[in-house]
Amino acid sequence: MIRFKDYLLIQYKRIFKLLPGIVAMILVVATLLGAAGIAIVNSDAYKAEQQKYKLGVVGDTDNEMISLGINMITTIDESRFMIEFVEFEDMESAQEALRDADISAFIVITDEFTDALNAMTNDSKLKYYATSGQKGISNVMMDEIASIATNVIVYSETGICTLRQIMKEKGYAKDVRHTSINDLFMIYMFALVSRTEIADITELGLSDGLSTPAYYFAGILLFFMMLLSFCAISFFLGQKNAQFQFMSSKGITPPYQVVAEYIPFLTINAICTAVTMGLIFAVTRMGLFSMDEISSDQSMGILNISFHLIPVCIMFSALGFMIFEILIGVINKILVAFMLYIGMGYVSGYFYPKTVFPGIVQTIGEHLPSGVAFSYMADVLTDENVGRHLLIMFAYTITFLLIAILVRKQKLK
Amino acid sequence: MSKRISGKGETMIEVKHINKNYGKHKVLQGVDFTVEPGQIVGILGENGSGKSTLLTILAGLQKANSGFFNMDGKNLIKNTKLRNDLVAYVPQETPLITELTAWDNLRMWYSSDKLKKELKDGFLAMLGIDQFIKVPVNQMSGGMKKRLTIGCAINSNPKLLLLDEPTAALDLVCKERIYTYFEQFKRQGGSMIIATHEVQEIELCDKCYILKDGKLDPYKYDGDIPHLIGRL
Repeated sequence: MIRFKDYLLIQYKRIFKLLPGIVAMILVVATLLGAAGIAIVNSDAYKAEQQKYKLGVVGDTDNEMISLGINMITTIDESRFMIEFVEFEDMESAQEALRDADISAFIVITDEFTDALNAMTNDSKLKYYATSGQKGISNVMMDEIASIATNVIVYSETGICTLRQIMKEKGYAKDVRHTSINDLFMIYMFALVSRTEIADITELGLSDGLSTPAYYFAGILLFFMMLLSFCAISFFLGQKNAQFQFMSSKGITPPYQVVAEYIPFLTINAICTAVTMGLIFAVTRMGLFSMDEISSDQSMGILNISFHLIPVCIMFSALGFMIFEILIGVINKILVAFMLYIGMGYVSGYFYPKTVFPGIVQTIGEHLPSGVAFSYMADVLTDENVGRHLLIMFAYTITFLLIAILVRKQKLK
Repeated sequence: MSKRISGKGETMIEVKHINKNYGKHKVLQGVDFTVEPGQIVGILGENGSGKSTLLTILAGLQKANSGFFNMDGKNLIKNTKLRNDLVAYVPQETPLITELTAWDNLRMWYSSDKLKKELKDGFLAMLGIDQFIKVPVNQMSGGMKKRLTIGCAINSNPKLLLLDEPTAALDLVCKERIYTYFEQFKRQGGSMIIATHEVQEIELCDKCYILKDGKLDPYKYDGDIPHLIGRL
């Protein structure tokens, strides 16, 4: 009777026939993606696009708190959601600029507001002006407040990481550290712009406490890892139910079949991930990419991350295997898997901080395999305990393989 | 060449009261028949009549709702390991790994030494597999694939071959080669159950059954094709 080992070896033989093409494809895609990313970040168009709103300010900006806020926003806020404050001597010049569409809206800082701010009370309002053709000023401010909150933190990320590290070294618990960092910024933001009549800021826009480069690194890398399963899709083509039936009649039942096919598939995905990480390693060595989270030794940090990607690779390979097992036809496999990966990545915050989504969507996103992988990566990057997320990923892997086995059993009938 | 051990005249294989339902649809209703050593049994019937279902049940690929499948008094439905050794199933479609060569496919089932021996003077040589041993499956003709499939199936020296339309869509030369092998397998004491539409295969059979409305009826083919069609 055929042994499991023989079937496993034959599957390895199958998939390694596809390997040269797979690796070549990875290199091409990774190189193109990397080149496109560098080109976008360094392009003038990208920088120009970052200026989204111009808000006029009329009134006394000499107040320490207000000037601090304006200075901070105009000097350190360079993200896509940048707000630019333009100071005007009086309301007439501000209105003229508004009519000429030089600004989106303007704010009048009254003496009463300044007094209330100095007293840290909440009994005076700013006056906002906007044209009817402009987006509603309240909405603008809501967006901008969220953007400011995000950007303040984005550009304070070095400080956050340092503070977090110091607190960690001093033995503070994770919850206490996160709460303290959040509280610090909340106090700052509330004092500057978040008056209850405008908005109640409850989220800071950060994702799992990561710096911006680390956040995008984790999101894009994980999404790329999900897509890697496409590289070995030809492994799933040409297989017919007759083959599964024949194997089963010879004693290689569906559980053995699935495991013996999954292991080579995982191997290929692991090789592809290693190639990708090799490229990232090279880019890091060249100094084109760095993260605060691994600032002590970028190269060693990348190697450490690569090692910690193994469980993610195992889970995503099982997910890909299950999807490709369920779906019939190459077009279906690619289309459905791609749509699924995009959706999972989106709600799990791969492309945009998940805090912008409603609470229920955030909760779903966090518990999806993609969300668990992201939280796991965040823990890896911030040097936290990853045990819980490892267990969840393990459970997901087993679940995906069990589903694949059930589907395979159905194919025998 | 390997010899099979059951003696002639002894009831080797018993299929009793096999019932199979797909929901409310009764595919097989109390299917009973016996196969003696060296006997070829043909199962005839229209497409969708349940021939393949019967073979897959006997091959252990799906469970019957009830019934027995015994060989030399041993229950093969419960004893899967014994069934895997004694029964070989050849599906209608190609079950081969198409990216690999004939050798690679066979190596999965045979040890290297046994494979070389079989290719030299065994059943594999009789099937002519040695002539295309290095050819990848995706470059083979339908006849080559079918012969290779049979070659893979018989690795455990089985007593019973289950064949689902084994020569469908093959040319005459290829069919003849496979029939020659069947004769040899039969002479060695091996038994076969063949689900078929082919007249040539029906003529090879020692006895035939028609599967209709889930029930199996004995049928004696006498060359009268219109009569056969009328019975189906």
